[in-house]
Amino acid sequence: MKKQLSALTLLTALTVTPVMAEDFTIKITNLTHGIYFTPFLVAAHDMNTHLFVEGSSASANLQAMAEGGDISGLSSDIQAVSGNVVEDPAGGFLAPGANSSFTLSTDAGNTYLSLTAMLLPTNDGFVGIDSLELPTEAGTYTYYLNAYDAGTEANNEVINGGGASGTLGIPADPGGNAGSGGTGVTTSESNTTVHIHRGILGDSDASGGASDLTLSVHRWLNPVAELVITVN
Amino acid sequence: MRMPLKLYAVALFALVLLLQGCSDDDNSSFREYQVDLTNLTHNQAISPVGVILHGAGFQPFVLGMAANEGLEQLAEGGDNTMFLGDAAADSAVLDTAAGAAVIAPGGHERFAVGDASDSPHLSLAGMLVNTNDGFAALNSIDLSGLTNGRSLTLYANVYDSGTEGNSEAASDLPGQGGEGFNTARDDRDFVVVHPGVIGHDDGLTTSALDQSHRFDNPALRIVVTRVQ
Repeated sequence: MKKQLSALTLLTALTVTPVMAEDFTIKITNLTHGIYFTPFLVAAHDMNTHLFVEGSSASANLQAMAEGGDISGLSSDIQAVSGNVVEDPAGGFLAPGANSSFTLSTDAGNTYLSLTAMLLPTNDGFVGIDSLELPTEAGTYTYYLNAYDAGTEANNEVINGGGASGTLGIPADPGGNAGSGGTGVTTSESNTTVHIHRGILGDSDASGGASDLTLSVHRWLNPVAELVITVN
Repeated sequence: MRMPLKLYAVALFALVLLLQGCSDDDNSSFREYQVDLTNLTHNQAISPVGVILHGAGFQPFVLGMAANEGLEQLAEGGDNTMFLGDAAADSAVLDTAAGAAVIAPGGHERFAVGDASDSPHLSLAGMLVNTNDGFAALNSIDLSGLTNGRSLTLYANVYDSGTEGNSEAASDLPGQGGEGFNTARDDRDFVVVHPGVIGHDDGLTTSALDQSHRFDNPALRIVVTRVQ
């Protein structure tokens, strides 16, 4: 077994160049306790393309994804540079603990993987990875993904249906664990770049308090997702 | 697209066989691992750890899936007996080791596990005793590439077994003298990353925990050294 693997490793090291088209089997698992993922955009692209960049301002299309779960703009961005995309592989929300498996077919030169999905219920939180160099040697590769804040909306933690870019508020809680009547945790966002999400505050008051989120359900620690890539 | 290359694979395979034949690291040699654990939390004692050396056919848990009862007993009550007993009865398990005692915050413990298999994997788990069902764990870390005399440093995250609601009530927390394991499954019934503890200092008024019990990942540092 080990010897065969060694041989395969040598074989791929000698013969595979990173410009070939490839098929990857990808599995994403939601590792959070009570946060839903909106439909994913999964993209393969060249080294100059990004869905987001840590420490830089979000694009308008990233903002639409992070605040409202709309991946259409980001998908168009990738396709405009001849990238490959998979949209909504889970067929809707990916619930806590649930997973989705699918195939990503890449064209020559699209050797980097990026993906994003909004975290619900948050104001502008998302799970993502920026420009992971796709493995080329046969095998199974596991990565753990963090939660980001797009930096485009104050984290007021009030659920009011507000999913449009620039509209303050959280669109919905698909799990039905949120309260209502929150007065708002904050009205400002001091870091307006894409950064690691500080987590939610929440409260235990279902009909008031500062937050509509429930602190015993909606909090998380990183990592929030497991990404498994299989090269056949 | 790799079809025409299979001949090379055969040639290389033979070459690798020859090279490995010259090595003193042949497949029949016993591999022994020293496993050093350090509790990195601020104020979460970790229950006696269960360490399992196993082949690829065993997993102590699967993220997103229900915990087995051995893991439930460890995660809710800090008892590794069934966790290790069930593992030892599994044909894919090579060796197990049980922690001698609770590992205090900042504390250390050393384990030794070994087998002659050339494809060993390491898993381990211990409860954070001031949680309802939180446990720090490694799940199936492949040690086959670790050569004799070399070390590997790993960090363990904290998972929630999903078998008990995170009440943080004293009556439900072994670390506060409360109940450990019970057979009820009154949470989501699948293993995920632990959302952290809240504590009464941060708004959960019914919590027996305070700010000192909060934690973030990772909770354990593990140094694996192959000593034979």
